[in-house]
Amino acid sequence: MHYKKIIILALIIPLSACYPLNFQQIENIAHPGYWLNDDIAGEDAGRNGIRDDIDEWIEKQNFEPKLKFAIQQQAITLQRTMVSKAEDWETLRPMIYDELDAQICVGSIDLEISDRVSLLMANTKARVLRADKIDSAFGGRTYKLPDDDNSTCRKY
Amino acid sequence: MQKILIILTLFLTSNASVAGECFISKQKFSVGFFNGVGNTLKQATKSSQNLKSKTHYPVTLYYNHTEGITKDLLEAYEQRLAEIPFAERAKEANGQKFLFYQFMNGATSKNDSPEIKAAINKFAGDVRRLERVASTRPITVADYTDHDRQLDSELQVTSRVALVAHSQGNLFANHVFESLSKTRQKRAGVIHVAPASVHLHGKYILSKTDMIVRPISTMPANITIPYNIFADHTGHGFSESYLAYPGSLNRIIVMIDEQQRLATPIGIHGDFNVKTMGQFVYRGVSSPSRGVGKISFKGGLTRYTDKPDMAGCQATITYDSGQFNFLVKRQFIKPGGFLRSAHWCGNGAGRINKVVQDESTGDIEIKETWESLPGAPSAASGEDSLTCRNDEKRKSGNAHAPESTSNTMSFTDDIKRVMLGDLYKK
Repeated sequence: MHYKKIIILALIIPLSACYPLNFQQIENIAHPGYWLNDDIAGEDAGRNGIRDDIDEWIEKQNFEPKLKFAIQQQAITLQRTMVSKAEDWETLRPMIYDELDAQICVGSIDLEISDRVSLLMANTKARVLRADKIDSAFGGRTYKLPDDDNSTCRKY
Repeated sequence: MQKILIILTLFLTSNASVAGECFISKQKFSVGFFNGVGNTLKQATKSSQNLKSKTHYPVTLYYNHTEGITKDLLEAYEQRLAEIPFAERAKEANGQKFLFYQFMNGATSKNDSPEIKAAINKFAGDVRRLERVASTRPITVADYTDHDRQLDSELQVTSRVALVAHSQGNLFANHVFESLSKTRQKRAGVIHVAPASVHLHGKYILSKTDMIVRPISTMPANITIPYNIFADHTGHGFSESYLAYPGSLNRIIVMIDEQQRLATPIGIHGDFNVKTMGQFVYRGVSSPSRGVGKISFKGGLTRYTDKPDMAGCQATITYDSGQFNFLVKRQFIKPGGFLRSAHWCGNGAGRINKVVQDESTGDIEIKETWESLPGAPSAASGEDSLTCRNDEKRKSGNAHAPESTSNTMSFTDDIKRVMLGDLYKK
């Protein structure tokens, strides 16, 4: 009987400990100064609405122009919600739906990468908590995916 | 005299336009996706998009917010407890099937080693702490309420919904399904993927390599998804395992297709027993596109206005609980197709007096009266009767066969179109 308990514990406890951290976040945890930085907005020297580290990451990936543009739009929508101090649903609602539409647009080009930016955006403890707060506001809500995924790209 | 005849005929045609065409709307089908444990909103959206791209059905995400996997497990645990009668719970616990609960409760046995006891106690302590935090906000109740409302509105415009639930999402899907009326439950089906629930409302799929749900499941595994430690070390991921492996994906698609085939007309009878016009509710009219206005009603009946190439006059008809108004315009397109002018043909008002659906054939008959409004070219009134045939049901030979239906039926006075067509040619 013991081995069953050990297996379950081995599964549950690491998951409990790690969630919702991704590899990028774990890497950052190794640098407490960065991880515990409470600046959510970060630097945006280019003033294009995208954090510089995300901009840099996008540039390094050599995305095709259409995908690059879609990801930039997604990053802008995510950053907008991230820096917003809003916590009430009515204020957050349009911003969150914009985020999701932008993600669908990226997903229509490359599904695998569609949630990558959101993971990269939440790379410090403060940002993880903010992202979780935003998700929390959406708890119990619904999102009807557009009939034509491409239609969300035309918004931007 | 000829002018009067033309105006009169035009107006008669406006009546024809009111009668227009009708059809029992093509059966709409959609999929609701309930995400599982430990999904951020973006991950759940990605799974939904993946499901949509692989099934080609419209998908709505019913988001279940994660507040950390431990808290989600706690939530799942509590929901499961609520599903199991106490006697069964005790029996199952005795049989050690719900070892998971033992961990949650911090129960240890004398045979456990000190390390195991310490680990169980630590985990149970975490659960208790999270339980106290969770109690400050009744997340589950809020989730249920919003999901119930959404599914209810979905079923007003969709004839059938398949609820695809993954992991803990099954507990939410079950609750939403059970909250439906018996009539509405007939129009929804649950597809359980790696169900963390005890009860099932439909078919399920669970992999032998699922390391999250299989150890705590009361259902036997019914598929073996090859274990891929790089893609999904848990073997539990919806996109990474269940949608990624062709065998499980195909089974999920087959289950959804089965639900789609069960889609029945939204049914004017059944949900909406139309005996009075109060029960026949107008839902909206879309902007006429290429001369065709679409008028839809709660209950699934849709009518189109006249087609422009048939009569030269197009009607825009608006309905309000059985009342309707119509405005008829005629467009001229000069040779070359560049210059257009619009002429007012007439307008009027009418009332749908009776809508009857024959339960044996599925046909819908609309009986209506109309009259011109002040200012119309001529005072006129009339009665129409319009039957929307349900040919698919006839073909099936079974009055209650749950067939998909999409029929058109021209209205009774085609002859007016012919008359107008002749005049127009002149």
